[in-house]
Amino acid sequence: MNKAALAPSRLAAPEPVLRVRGLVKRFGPGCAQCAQQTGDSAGTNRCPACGTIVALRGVGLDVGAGEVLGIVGESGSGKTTLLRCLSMDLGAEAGSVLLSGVGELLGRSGRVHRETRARELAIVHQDPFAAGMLPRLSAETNVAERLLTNGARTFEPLSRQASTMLARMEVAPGRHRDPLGTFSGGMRQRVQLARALVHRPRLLLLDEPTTGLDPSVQATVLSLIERAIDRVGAGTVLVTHDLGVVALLADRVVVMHHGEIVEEGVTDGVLEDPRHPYTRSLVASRLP
Amino acid sequence: MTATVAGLAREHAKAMPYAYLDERSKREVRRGLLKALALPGRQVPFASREMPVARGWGSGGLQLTLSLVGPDDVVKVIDQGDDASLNAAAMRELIARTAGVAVTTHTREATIVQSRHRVPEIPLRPDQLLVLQMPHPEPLRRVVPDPARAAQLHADGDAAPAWVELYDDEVRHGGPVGGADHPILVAGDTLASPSPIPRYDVLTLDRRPHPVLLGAGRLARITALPPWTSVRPLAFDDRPLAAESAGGPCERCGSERSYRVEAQRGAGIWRCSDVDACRERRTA
Repeated sequence: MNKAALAPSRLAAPEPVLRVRGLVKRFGPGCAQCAQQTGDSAGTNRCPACGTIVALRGVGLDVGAGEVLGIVGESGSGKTTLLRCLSMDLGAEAGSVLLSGVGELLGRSGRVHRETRARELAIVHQDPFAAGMLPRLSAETNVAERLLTNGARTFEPLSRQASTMLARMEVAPGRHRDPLGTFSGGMRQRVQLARALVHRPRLLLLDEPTTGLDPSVQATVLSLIERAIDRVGAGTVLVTHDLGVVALLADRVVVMHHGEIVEEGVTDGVLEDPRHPYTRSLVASRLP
Repeated sequence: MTATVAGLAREHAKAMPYAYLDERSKREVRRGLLKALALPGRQVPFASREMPVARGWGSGGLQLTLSLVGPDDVVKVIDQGDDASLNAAAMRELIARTAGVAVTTHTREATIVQSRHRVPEIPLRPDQLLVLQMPHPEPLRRVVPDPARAAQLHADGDAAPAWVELYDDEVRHGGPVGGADHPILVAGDTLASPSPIPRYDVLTLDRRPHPVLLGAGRLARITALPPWTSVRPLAFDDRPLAAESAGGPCERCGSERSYRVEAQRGAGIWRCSDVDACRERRTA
């Protein structure tokens, strides 16, 4: 595959919300041989000389406003590490992560990271409680939390905004004030979506948002995500194992293998005509 | 010469330093106080000493009072507004015996008022000091159980967890559910605990003409509100904090504006919590 022909700038919108270049993330001390002995061509992301895991090797991608970029790959391919670098949970050894309106994120102070996370970013996890939602607080409070963090101090408009967003996510008004711990898995995901989108983030990160939900609930949540992204217009990065979810939501898709992007393109094109052997095996393993 | 127990006790009493604590300990507390006054609302650590009261029973307030009291001071100690409680009486006695200072039950006569869980309702003058006993100095302790994370939030000036808790109280209960220790914002946005005083008292903390010193002996922290410091209760712009309401006027003085507590649960008899203020009203 000619990777140069699939350079991010060719596929993405002219002014991306997120621009990632040459991102390198290692877990371990690293050595001179790491670069040659890991990656897709080496067939491993673990350096045989020093044992370092090279989780990301020169990853680059762009995400435009309103665009959904799917990231697929097997477990250990670097998807979650990439998402954690984008959400500033992890630093990186090299590279650049530019967020429109903020600038470079790597190497910035904790304060910039906190403010960016609160104002410009939203993350939807598979487990709502991993996203910092609190089961003892009401659904409405969990949604309003982001606005409170951003300095909202007037109760009535805040309450209206949180309730409206919950209603958009089809959470019945009678349950807005119930503790989140009393909600089912699908309902918690709706609340998590409402919380993620209530402050209209610039960048939305979705980490396996429908994994673990039963198929009917999954379909509803996917439809809500689709509508919400259209409404908010956020650039979205979707990490999932499920090619069906990617086919439904993602405009473009990148395929990761051993810490590298091995294929990238418009979703339909990649799924219908995969070029890289790993992508072919991934598409072939998809259930009919 | 034969030593007797009484003789040894007399010798020991002579050896006791002025105001119980040795001078170095008092200096350390005063240094902490100066730092706390320079950083209104912040929790300043100090080397809290073992005291002859259990930690959590006023050992912090007692150390502040003993470090500040001079021979000419007049000390008043109250417990929930009352001079006669066992805890207040014991501490008053300890201060009087070890420092040899005068004590009083009249707020206007005192130069130092040490109080547990109440702010005296008789306004204090600029030359008076209010020392509040504070069991828990951390205003985020209910919402952020990890002290390291709470400290980081204070360092970042991030009071969001307290606002989230207040929001949840408003949503589910129509207002704050905590009966006491409602968080305050000091000198702008410094989140602090006012000690477990009722909301009635929290509303009186703004721009007081005298220093308010809060001591937590068990957790070894001092917080201070210098004179004229802005103190706002944590409350939404459109939901101001309301004081507690009583079921009736004080049965002794008839006041309907004081902070009153029920004398006997369910009996419908309400009395002023601040005994001295109530007495003044009756004798006026």
